[in-house]
Amino acid sequence: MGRSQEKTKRVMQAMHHEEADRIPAIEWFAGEFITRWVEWRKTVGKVKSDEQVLTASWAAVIKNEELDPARYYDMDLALAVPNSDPKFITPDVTSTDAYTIATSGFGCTIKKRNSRLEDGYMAPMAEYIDFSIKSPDDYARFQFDDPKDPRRFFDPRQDILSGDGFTVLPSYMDGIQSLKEDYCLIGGIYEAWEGLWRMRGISNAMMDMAREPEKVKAFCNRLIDFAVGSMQEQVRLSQCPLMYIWGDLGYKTGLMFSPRMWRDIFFPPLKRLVDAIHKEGVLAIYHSCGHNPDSTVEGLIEAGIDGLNPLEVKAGMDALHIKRKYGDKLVIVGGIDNAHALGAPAGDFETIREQVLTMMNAAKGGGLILQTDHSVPGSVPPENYDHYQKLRREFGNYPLHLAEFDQVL
Amino acid sequence: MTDFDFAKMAESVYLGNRTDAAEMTRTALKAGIQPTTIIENGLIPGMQRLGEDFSKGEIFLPEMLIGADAMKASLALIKPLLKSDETKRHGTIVLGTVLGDVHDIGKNIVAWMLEGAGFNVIDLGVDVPPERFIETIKKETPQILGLSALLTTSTHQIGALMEELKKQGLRDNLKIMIGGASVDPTYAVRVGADGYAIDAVSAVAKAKELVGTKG
Repeated sequence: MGRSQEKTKRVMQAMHHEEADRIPAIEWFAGEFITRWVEWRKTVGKVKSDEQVLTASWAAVIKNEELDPARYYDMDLALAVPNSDPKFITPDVTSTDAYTIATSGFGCTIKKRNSRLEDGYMAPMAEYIDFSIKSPDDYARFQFDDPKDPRRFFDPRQDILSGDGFTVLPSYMDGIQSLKEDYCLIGGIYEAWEGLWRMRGISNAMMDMAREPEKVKAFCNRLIDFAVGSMQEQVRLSQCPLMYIWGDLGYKTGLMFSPRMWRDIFFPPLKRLVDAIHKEGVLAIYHSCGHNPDSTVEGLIEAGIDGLNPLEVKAGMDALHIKRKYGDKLVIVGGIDNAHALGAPAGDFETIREQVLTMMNAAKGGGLILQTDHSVPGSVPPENYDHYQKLRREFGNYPLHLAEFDQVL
Repeated sequence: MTDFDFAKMAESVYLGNRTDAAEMTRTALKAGIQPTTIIENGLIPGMQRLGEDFSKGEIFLPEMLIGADAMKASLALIKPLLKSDETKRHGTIVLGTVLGDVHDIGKNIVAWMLEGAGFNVIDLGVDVPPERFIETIKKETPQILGLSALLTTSTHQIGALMEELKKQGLRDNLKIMIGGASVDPTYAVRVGADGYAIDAVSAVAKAKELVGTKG
């Protein structure tokens, strides 16, 4: 059995609530973390390399395998996504010393401060400064481009959300070629809320949801038509058995909109997307940042999702609670605290050990894929992340024995 | 004036009905009601109810945003009629999201609530470099500086700015309050801020407390 088949088997056992040989894992490394980690590896690991790793906000091109954290830590899953902007455009990019301003395939204009690692920031989030959908009536006028356009899959990627200074990344298919022998692949597509706010702005979209819900609903249906097309083509080209759905319903203390509004506007299109994913023989992992109360988790299960990601600890999400209450219906993908545990002062391994081993109880009986509770930001010291991976190697094999943090579920 | 239905006006703000809020403001002004009376008896009760229900989890951001939008429709008619001292009867507050962070919804709601409560709000927006805060503080001499941060990667900018303010001798007559998902009361104490607010309602209460205003 090849490496990718072995990993796919491990991942799918976890997805079917079975214990494999070990707990599978995936990670999203922020470009800033990769930059710091590569320097740490060169120093601590005495890796001799002149390679200048090309990083973007959420992607990196790394030729030397010893400088690739995903390969070094032997991740099981790798994310591969094409350009899925509603419009396939060549971004119009203007750069100054401080900022880059660019148009996006979401019909918005974004302004992004250029990275200056020496000043403490790199690849910061973009500010949305203009939108092509300027009123609720514009929703009906917006024309989506073909989600299956071959250029989205075979041309170098220059969709701006991944770009730091709008780096042009290798094509989706080049990415697939470099990953498919070594990993179980997972695709990704955004659902209606995520697409809506990127095209209209969060505040504008929310006001439309309150004042013009019917126009919003009609647009959400078109967003899902587009998402289904992109998803189908990803599955056809990559044969990925899993698909992330980017959602984001919560913030630190609660939901961004009421459960009633979610049920009315976003539940029907989400269910349609999940059904379409299942029709392709693929399982769906729903990504929702922030605090998602039990009632929302139950609604997501009703929509048919198979896994929930990332269970942000700092927003009060508790993987063990989810496991105990919904463990037979839902796979947990995430749950490792990137703020207080991995983000602890460098070398605070006791804090990391307690959180990681306690959380790994959720893997009993299968149903857990390890991942940080969103991504690994630059604020995580490389040695802390390395310690988490050492714990994974030491304690992540089945049957689990989690030392002083072992619990009966 | 006694015939004017302020409760209905507050309700139009609460429900986010900007047309009604603007129309009732015009009616009140035509009837000779003082602009500050409209704010205090019509707009503030509406925004306060919104803020309280938001804190209790009974309403969410969309309802909060349309409520603030209705209030702004009314304020746009009232503001030109206010005397300069009336626009800042509780003082001036400079607000902004710190360098490297572009989140603005929470900060905007705080700004609208403070404005509705009688503060002169100078909102510098998002991703604000320290030098811009300092320049504005020198020019406007506010009573309060409000700093927002949602990203953990940008939180340290708050401490850095506070150090710089001290260095430039601008800290003594300035109260500083902070908020946003990446900060908490412990962090506020650690960096020496004068206050922390978890949401817009407590931000208004904290701002009033810091300038010594009751109610």
